[in-house]
Amino acid sequence: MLKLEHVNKAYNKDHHKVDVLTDFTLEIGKGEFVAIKGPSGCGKTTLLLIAGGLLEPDSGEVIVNNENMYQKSPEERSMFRAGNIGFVFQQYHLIPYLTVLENIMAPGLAKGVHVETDKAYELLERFGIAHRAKHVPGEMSVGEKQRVALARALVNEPAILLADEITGNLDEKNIDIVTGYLDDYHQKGGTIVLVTHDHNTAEKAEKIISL
Amino acid sequence: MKIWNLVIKEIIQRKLNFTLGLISVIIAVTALAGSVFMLRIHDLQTEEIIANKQKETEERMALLKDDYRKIMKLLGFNLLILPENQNLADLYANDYATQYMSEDYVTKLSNSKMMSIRHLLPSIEQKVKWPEEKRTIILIGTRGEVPFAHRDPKEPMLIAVPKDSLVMGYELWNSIGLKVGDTVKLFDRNFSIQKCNEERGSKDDISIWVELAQAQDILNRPNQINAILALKCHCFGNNISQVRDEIKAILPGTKVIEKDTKVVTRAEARDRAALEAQQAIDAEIANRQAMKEEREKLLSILLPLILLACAVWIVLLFIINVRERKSEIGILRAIGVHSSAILRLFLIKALIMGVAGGLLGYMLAFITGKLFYNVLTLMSVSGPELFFTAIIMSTLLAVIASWVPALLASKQDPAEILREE
Repeated sequence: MLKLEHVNKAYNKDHHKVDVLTDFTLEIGKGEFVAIKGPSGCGKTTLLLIAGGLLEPDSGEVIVNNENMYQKSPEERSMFRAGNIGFVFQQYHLIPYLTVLENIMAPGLAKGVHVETDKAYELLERFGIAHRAKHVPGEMSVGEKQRVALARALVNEPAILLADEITGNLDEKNIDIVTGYLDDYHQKGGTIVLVTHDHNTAEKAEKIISL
Repeated sequence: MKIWNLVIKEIIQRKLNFTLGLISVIIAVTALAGSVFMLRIHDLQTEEIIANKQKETEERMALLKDDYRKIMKLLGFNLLILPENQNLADLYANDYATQYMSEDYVTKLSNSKMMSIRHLLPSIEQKVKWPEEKRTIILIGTRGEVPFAHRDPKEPMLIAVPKDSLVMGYELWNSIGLKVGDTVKLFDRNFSIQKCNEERGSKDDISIWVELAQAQDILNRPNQINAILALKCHCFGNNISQVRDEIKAILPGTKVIEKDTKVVTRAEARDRAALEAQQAIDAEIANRQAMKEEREKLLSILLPLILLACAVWIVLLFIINVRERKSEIGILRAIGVHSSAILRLFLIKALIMGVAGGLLGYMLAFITGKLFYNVLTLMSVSGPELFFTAIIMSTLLAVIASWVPALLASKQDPAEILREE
């Protein structure tokens, strides 16, 4: 499903090369729920961005659904991402001037993607935020925002969900709600790569990889 | 979700940013359209002023022409026909001719079909000593007006002096103490005084007019005359030379001079008035043109500066907008929206700004123009081509100015944005 082979990535910081990932190899099968754990700055987010086709590694290969991600053109990669990968971030990255419903339907802006309004509503119902459909993110709680972000990531029914510290800003109650949805998605056959530094959240995964 | 929806929503969300950009476009279009209105109205006003001036001049010239025609009709001009060998210096020095020609010349001229001369007065003049009174006088013999053979008789301008009568100049009768009806002896001949002239302040005051034949006899110049005065000659315009040529063709061996140049002067004055009127119109045209060039020069400096300032302002606003939307760009890229769609996102916004700014700017230029000009004039200079040019220009201004910030936005590395966040 997702394979990273001998991936290397380094950044230049103050004219110094900082190695973030060195000869990193990982294989995640279809329907697996994997948590990547590690302290801040260990390269968790970098790993997620590389896996999602947003950050090209210095070397190594990234195979998603048997397709080499970085052999594609940027446009092909965008289209591939739109159809196969869902992203959720700690900071939600909701578009502030769009309503909840519009935010969930935003993936429809990608080429070749069409999001049905009914399906968006169905997701809102499932995530318990249907009553917030016409509200903008600024009018919502952090837990609700994260649910909207999760709903947006799942609206296209991606094969893989890449989640970056999605419980980082949440209280325990909301952590339970959000991880519950992740479980739900996983139960339906979804593949999840969850990056977290929180041990309890990582515990929900089938496999934990420490960086 | 369509990209247009996103753009409209973003405009509504960040009203201030969009409004500031819109104002910038409005200013640019108002300045541009307003300048074109002003220059076009200047041209219209120039045309109107010149047309009015031309009409006025034509009317005045027509009146002037009519006046001169009347003057010409009333006065005509006077010619003096002299023997060809008459020295003009002598003529002007003595105030009378000293050479002679045959009296038949006047008959020849009167028998001609020349239409431009109305009255013919043959005369003989000579300065002589009046033996009886021992005075120097100018003896003038005149037979009065010679009628034209082929024309209806006209009222004569001068009444002939009857035989044995004379007309006496002021100085003579006054100093000697003579009066009308007295008999005087002149060269052993008796003459009755028919008329005593009023003082004229010229040689006429020492002149005596007698019948031509008697004068010829006294002066011993039978059938001879000094000059023929052609009075009230007519011509078209001021073409006296044509009349002269006609006379000289009939009377070879003569010369023709103008006796009185008043009419010619008037005709020349009329031509000069016409010339001056035309020069005034030319000067007005030049003045208006200079004014227009001055305005164009000013606008050629001012307009690019305004456009540049507006463009820079739009660039800055879009850069701010790109910075504000960094997170949004990052997430859109992460969910699979291609960089070209991000570029479109900003360019569509610029397009809306350009079209709306163009429309509002054009309206504002029109409304401002109404403060200075009437609506009909404004409408006549604000054709659809100017309207569409304004819209196209404003759209281009906004799109070009936003291009670089939009390109920067589309080239932003989503990974970098998302990592930073």
